[in-house]
This record gives sequence, C-alpha cells and structure tokens, in this order.
Amino acid sequence: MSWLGTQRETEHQYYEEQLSAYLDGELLPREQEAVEQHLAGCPSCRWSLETLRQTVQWTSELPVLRVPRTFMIPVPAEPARARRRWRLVPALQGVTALVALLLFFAVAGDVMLTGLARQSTPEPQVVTLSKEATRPVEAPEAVIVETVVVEKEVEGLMAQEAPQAEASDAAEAEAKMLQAAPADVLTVTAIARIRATEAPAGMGGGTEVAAEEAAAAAAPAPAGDTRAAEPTLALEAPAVPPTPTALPTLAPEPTVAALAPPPAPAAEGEALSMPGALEESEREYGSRPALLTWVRWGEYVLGVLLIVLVGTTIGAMVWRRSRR
Amino acid sequence: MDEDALIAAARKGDVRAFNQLVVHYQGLAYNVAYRILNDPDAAADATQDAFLSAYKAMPKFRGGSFKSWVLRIVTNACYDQLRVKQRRPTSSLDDLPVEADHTFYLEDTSELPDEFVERQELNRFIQAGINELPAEQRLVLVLSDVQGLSYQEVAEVLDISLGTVKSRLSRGRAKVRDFLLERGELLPPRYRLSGKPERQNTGGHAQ
Repeated sequence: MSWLGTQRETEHQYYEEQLSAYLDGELLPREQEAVEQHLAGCPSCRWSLETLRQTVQWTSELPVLRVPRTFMIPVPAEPARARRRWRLVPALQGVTALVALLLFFAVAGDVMLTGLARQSTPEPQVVTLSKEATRPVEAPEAVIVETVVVEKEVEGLMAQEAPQAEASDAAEAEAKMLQAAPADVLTVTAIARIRATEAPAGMGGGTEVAAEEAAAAAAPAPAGDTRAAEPTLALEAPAVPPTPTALPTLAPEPTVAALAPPPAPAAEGEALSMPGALEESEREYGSRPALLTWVRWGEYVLGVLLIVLVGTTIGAMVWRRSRR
Repeated sequence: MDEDALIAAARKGDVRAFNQLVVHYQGLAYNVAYRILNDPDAAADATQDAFLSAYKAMPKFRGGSFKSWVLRIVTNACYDQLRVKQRRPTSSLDDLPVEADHTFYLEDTSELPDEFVERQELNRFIQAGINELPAEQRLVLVLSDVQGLSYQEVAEVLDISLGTVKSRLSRGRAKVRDFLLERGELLPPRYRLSGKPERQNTGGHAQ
C-alpha cells in the first residue's frame, strides 16, 4: 500500500508539473490526453490547474509601465566629425584629380606649341642626324621666318670672328640666352661646346655619336628631374655646330636640343624643363607668342598645387584610417 | 523606413537609425527590466546599458529576430544589475514600490476607483511573488507571462531548451501562486485564491 501510494504520488507530481504547459496548449496530443484523464480523477490537480490559470491571468494583466525617460543613445559629436571627414577626403580626391587633369592639358598644349616652335629650326637637325637626312623639312615657311631672323643676326656676328673663336662666341651667345639657367649648367655647356668644336668639321659621324649619347643620357632621366635633364640637353646643343653645313650658330637654340631625342618619352619632360632658355630667346628676339609662357607658368603652378594636394589627400586618408 | 532597413543602417553605425529602433523597443525593454529587477532606477540603468551594448554589438547581429536579440541583451544587463545590487532574499510588502508612482495605461477605464486600488494591491503582490523567484525562473516567467512571449521565443532569448522553459515556467508559476495563497488574507477578497482541497488516496502525502 505504501509502495502504491508512493507510485501514485510520483504520478500525481508528474501531472501537476504538466499543468502549466497544458494551460498554454504546449503539450503533445498524447500528453494532453493523459493529463485530462488524470484531471478527471484528481480534484487537487483540478484546483491546481484553476489557481494556476488565475495566477497566469493576473500576471499577464500587470500594467505596462511608461518609460521614465528615453533610452536613445545621444548622437555624439564624434560621429558628426567622422562624417565631415568622410566628405573631406572625397573632396580632396576630386580636386586633386581636377588639378591633375588641368596639368595634363597644360602639358599637352605645351608639347603642341613646342612642336611648332621646334619645326622652325629643322635644317640643323636633319643635317646632323644623317640617318634622318631624307626626312623632308615639313615646317611651314611662316614658322621658319622668325628663326631666320635669329640666324641672320648670329651669323652676322659670327662672320666677323675667326673660326677658332667660334666656340667661345657661341658659348657666350648661349650663356646670354641661358641666363635663367643655373651656373653649373652653363659650365657643362661650355665644356661640351669646346669638346665638340675640337672635332674636325665634316665629321658627321662623331656628331651623330654625340647626339645619340645625349639622347641616351636623356632617355632614362625622369621627366620631373629638370636639373638632371638640363645639362644633358646643353651638351647636345653644341654637338650640332660642327656639321658640314656650317650652321653652328643656331645650335645653341635650346629648341633644337629638345628636339634631338624625339622618340624618348623623357624628351617631352626635357622640352618642358627648358622654358627659361626658350623664354629668354623668345623675349630677346621678340618672337614666339606669350601663350607658351602662360602655359609654362600654368604648368609650374599646377605642378606645385598637385604635389601639395596629393600630399594632403594621402595624409587625410591615412589619418581617417588610423582613426577608424 | 522598415525595421530591416533601420537595422542595416544601424549596423553601419548610424546612431539615428539605431535610435529609431530604441524608440520602438524601449518600452518592452524597460518593462522586462522593471519586472525582473522591481526597481525603477535599476531598470532604467539596465535598459540604458542594454541599448548601449546593443549599439556596440550591432555589427555582430546576424539576422533573425531583432526583438529576441535585444531582449537577450536586456536580460543579460538585468543579471548584471542583480549582481551589482545584491537583492534582498525576501522583500517585505512595505518595501514594494507603489506603482501609482508610475503612470500606466489602463485598458479598462470603466473600473471603479475601489477596484482600481484593489487591483493595484494585487499587482504589488504579484510583483512581490515574481521577486521571490530564483533569477532563472523569474526571467522565464516575466518573458512568458508578463510579456506574452511564446515558449520558442523565450528559449531563443535565454538560449535554453524548450524543455527548460517548460519546467522553469511551471515551477515559477506554482511559486507565485503559492505566494498569493500564503498571503491570501492580505489580498482583497475578490482576488483571494480558493484553498487547496483535501486530497484523497494520498498515502505518501507529506503534509
């Protein structure tokens, strides 16, 4: 009897524990049926079920409290600053790209203008570089005119001098033209000139070698490295004078020098690096349009601006990344 | 903006979007915290902590029910509050806060003032009964019976099995019921539970 009683008590406890889930309809159909069978013969469980139902009912009717305040996260100043930084960097990138584009156009315009200018002295080049001697002179007469004026003036000067003095005279004339260039460049130019004039006239081969040398030296020079490029070009200029056609006086004209290595990509940069000399000669002989001067100035300003902008943009991007 | 869009924006750190979610869930969060902690200040602290944690954890939210996710953080914050404020083992009725301090919504405004006062009395007892429960039973009972979450939702919030939800809820409800029974004479007559009938065939009955 005692064993049976314990058995019944265990069973009763089991069903009593099921009543909560039974209330919520969370029992399997089989379990639900078993609970209902037990309930039919157990007033205690019926009472338990009823009081539980009442308790759950009351609990669910507890009032909903109004929040005493809002729990929104304050929008801090930090994210606002981060957003502004987010806008700053794209703006910097945009301006940098714009300046780079403008600089590209300025350089392109410069190259075109320089191309026209350099055609004004095609004669020495063609003669010097015998390989290309067959290439016709394509420069229009109008472009040549101004150069002819220069030729005549300098030729007249030359005629009065002994051939021996030619070199130094030409060097002087060049020095005059290259006033804006640094002293060391001039020195190199003068030395090169002397060396070039020492070669016997008519030795086209030697001249060609010198020109090629200069071109080779010019080619690897970085486009932006104007200092390095200048002596190279100056070296080349005197290489032209001792040509059989005896037109040495034009040789110092930097336009010719810049023209010499046209296939090398660095040549453009070198052409740009000689504005001082070119401007000087132009001003002196009252020729080439002021437009080129303006383009050159634009290149300088844009170049400096671009460097500053690239630095600032990279700095801002690094800073933003480090902040995040 | 729907909830998914707000969640997506909040995950990217958009505080404003997150605050819209806060506005939507703060009532639920605060009420859960209040019923678990039975203290307005502690509940407010827990709710605020929970939303700050949730904002920081937004990138870790992997979809699913945002409500369950928020409630999990709220219940964790409540656990922390319970640990900070060593709750008294038993709360006397004198210590129970009078809920009239809070404005709350009455669904049935036709209730007479008498009934209103009596109902408030009952609510205090129920809250006191909830307060007597061990923390794990309290959490299950608050989520299920006060907030009306399904067993599945409670299991999800507390990361426990359905069977555990079922047994904790069963014990919690029985304890609250017994708490009310024990204090039956203190309750307004209409809210007194009927006494337990004498059981027959109870060979092993202990009492």
